[in-house]
Amino acid sequence: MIICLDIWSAEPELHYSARMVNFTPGFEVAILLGAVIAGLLGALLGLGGGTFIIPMLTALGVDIRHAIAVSIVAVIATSCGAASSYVRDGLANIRIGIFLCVATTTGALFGAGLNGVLPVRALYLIFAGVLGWSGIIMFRKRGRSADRLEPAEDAPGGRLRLAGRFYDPSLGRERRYVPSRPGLGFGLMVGAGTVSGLLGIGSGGLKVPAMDLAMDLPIKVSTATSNFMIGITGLASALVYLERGQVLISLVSPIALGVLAGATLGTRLLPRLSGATIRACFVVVLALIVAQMLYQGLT
Amino acid sequence: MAPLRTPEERQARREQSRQLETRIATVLRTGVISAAVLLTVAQPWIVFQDRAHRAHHLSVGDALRRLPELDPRAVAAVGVLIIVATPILQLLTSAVLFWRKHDRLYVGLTLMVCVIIAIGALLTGGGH
Repeated sequence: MIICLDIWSAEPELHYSARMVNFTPGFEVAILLGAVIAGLLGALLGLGGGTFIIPMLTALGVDIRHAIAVSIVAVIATSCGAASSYVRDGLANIRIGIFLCVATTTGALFGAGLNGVLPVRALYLIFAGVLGWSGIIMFRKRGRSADRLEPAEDAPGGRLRLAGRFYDPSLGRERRYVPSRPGLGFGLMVGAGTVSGLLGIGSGGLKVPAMDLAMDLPIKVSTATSNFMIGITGLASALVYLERGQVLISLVSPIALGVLAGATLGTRLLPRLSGATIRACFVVVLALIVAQMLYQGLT
Repeated sequence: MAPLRTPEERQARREQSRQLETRIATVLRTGVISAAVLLTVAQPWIVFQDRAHRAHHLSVGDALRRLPELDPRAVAAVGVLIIVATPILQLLTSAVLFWRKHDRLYVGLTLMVCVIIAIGALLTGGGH
C-alpha cells in the first residue's frame, strides 16, 4: 500500500489495470460512510484523512492510481472543512501555518527533485523509526499540564509574531501560547516536506509531531494548524491529478461529500476533547502509519 | 511592523488578527458550503440515475463537459473544483489581508508559498 497525501513526488509504483469496481448504490454508500469516518479522524488529528481513504478504496477494489488521486482531493476537502471552523475559533494559527507552509512546500519540491537519488526503502525504514520515536515521546507527554505552556500576557511571539490564544472549552478558559524554537520547527518541516516529496507519503503525521514536540504548541493548535496547512500543500498534486484525468467523479463525489460531513463533526468534537485524549488518538494512528512505512520498507 | 508598547496598541493588533481570521474563515466556509450543496444535490441524483449512465467512469474534466446537458456528474464536478479552488482563494485572500495590514513579512511568505506551489504543479505536471 502506498500512501500519498501531499506530494510532488515521483509517480508511486502503480499497479494499474483496466479493472474497475462496479459502482452500485451499496458501494457508493459504503465509501460515503468510510469518508465520513476519515474526515472526522482527519479533522480531529490534523491528518487529512488520506491515510484511511486509500486503504479503504483499494480494499474495495479501486485501482491505487485512482485511489491516490481521489484521496488528494479528499485531503483538501477535509482541510477546508476543518480549517473553516478552526480559523474562525482561533484554534488554527494562520501565521504559523503560512510560515511552516513555506518550509513544507520547499521541502516537497526539493524532495521531488531528489527522487531516484536516495534509496527509498531505507528512507521508509528511517522515517518509520523517526515517527515511532515521535509517537513514543508524544505518548509520554500525554499527561502534560496545560498550565506549563502559558506565557505571559501579550507575549509577542518573537519577530514572526507567532503567539496565539484560543478558548479551550475542555478547560473552560482561554489559553495563551508562544511557539518555542520556530527555527527548529521550520527545519523539521523542510525535512518533513522533503521526505514527503521523496516517498509520496502524507505529511499530517509529520507536521503534528513537529509542532507538538519541537515548537511545544498545544496539541489542539497543532492539529488545527496542520489542517489549515494540508489543503495548501496538497494543491499542486491535486491540480496535476485533475489535469491527468485520474480523479474519477463517481469516486470523488461521495468521498468529498463524506469527508466534508466528517470534518464538520470533527471540528465540533475537537474543542470538547482533552489534549490527552487527542494525543492518545494521534499516537494510535501514528502507530498505523509506522506499520505501513515498515511494510513499504521491508517488502 | 513596529514593536507594540501600550495595551491599546496590543488590543488593536489583536482585533486586526481576529478580523483576518474571520475573513479567511469566511472564504473557507463559503467554498465548503457551496461545494457541499452541489455535492448533496448531485450525489443522490447520480446514485439513482439510469445504471447505463453510471457505467461511465468519467474524470472530473470529462464530467464538466456535460454541464450543458445538466448531467449530475457535471454538477458534482463543479463542487469538486470549488473544493480545490478554495485553498487557492485562501492563500490569495491571506496575501491581500496581510497587505492591507501592512504586514510585508507575511505578504512575502504567502506569495512565496503560492510561487512554490505553482512551480511544483508546473514541474510535476510538465514531467508527465
